[in-house]
Amino acid sequence: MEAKTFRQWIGRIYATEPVEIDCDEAQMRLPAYVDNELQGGELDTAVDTHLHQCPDCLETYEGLRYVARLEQQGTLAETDGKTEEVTAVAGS
Amino acid sequence: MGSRTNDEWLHQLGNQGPQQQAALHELREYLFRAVFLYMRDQRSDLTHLSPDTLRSMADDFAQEALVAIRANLHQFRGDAKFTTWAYRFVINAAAGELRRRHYRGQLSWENLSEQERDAILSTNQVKGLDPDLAIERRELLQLLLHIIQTELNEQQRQAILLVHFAGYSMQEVASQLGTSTNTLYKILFDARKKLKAHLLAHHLSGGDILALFEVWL
Repeated sequence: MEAKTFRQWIGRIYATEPVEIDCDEAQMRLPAYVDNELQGGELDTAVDTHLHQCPDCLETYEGLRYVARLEQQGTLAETDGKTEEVTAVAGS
Repeated sequence: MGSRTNDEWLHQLGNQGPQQQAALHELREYLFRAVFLYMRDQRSDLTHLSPDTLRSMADDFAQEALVAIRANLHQFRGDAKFTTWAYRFVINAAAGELRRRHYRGQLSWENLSEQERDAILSTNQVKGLDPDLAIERRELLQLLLHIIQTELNEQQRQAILLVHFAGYSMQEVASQLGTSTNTLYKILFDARKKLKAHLLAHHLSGGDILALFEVWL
């Protein structure tokens, strides 16, 4: 096992909470979580914990945060569907 | 993109007529743009694809997401921007399909104990390590292996091996186990709880373990 994998595994074990939300609930809360994050608001700790443990939901979160940030910056609206010319400026 | 409020989106999408057609058209454009940019900018596994191919894929994902959004409008809770809520559908459509395309085939459950042993004990293969530290590390790894093999059931061991050690996606492992990602999450959650409880019973904190494995190369 590689160092990164081992450290991540140990981190996941000790980050385990007595109660955690499942993927469906995390997915339901994700849009509000992303909007709050982009507005500098308080984050939902249950979603935080889930994202630490679930690679698939983390992937959705990262993609959603990216496009929501583009929308917030107005970059998403600049394209007309012929999107080669769109220059993304949001950080990932 | 702030042309409509949440209420306006819901009202216009939910009532037949020209306003609904306009809202659907606009939403589909937003979904298309979002997923196109997601695939183009965020997916390193798609950099070899041409813009035309990405555009075609984005078109399919946007259509799929639009159908799902219309079917799930009643689930919108109003705690997020409507468009953020909608983008989740199109990102999930793309990410899910791309995960399926990367499935690595039939997963092997044979020699589970040996696979665990190889994964865990290989962690201590470091040349030139202080002998005392090497012994301490080996003892800890043997303890981890012992907990896995005596305290976890077979399903929990499979899930740990495939998701945590081998890095398979939740979707792929759930599919192979014939279950849902929700159930797989619960299997992993129960496994993590047991591992944590047993390690704490041995008075081992996460910091203790990580400190032992600071030296890696």
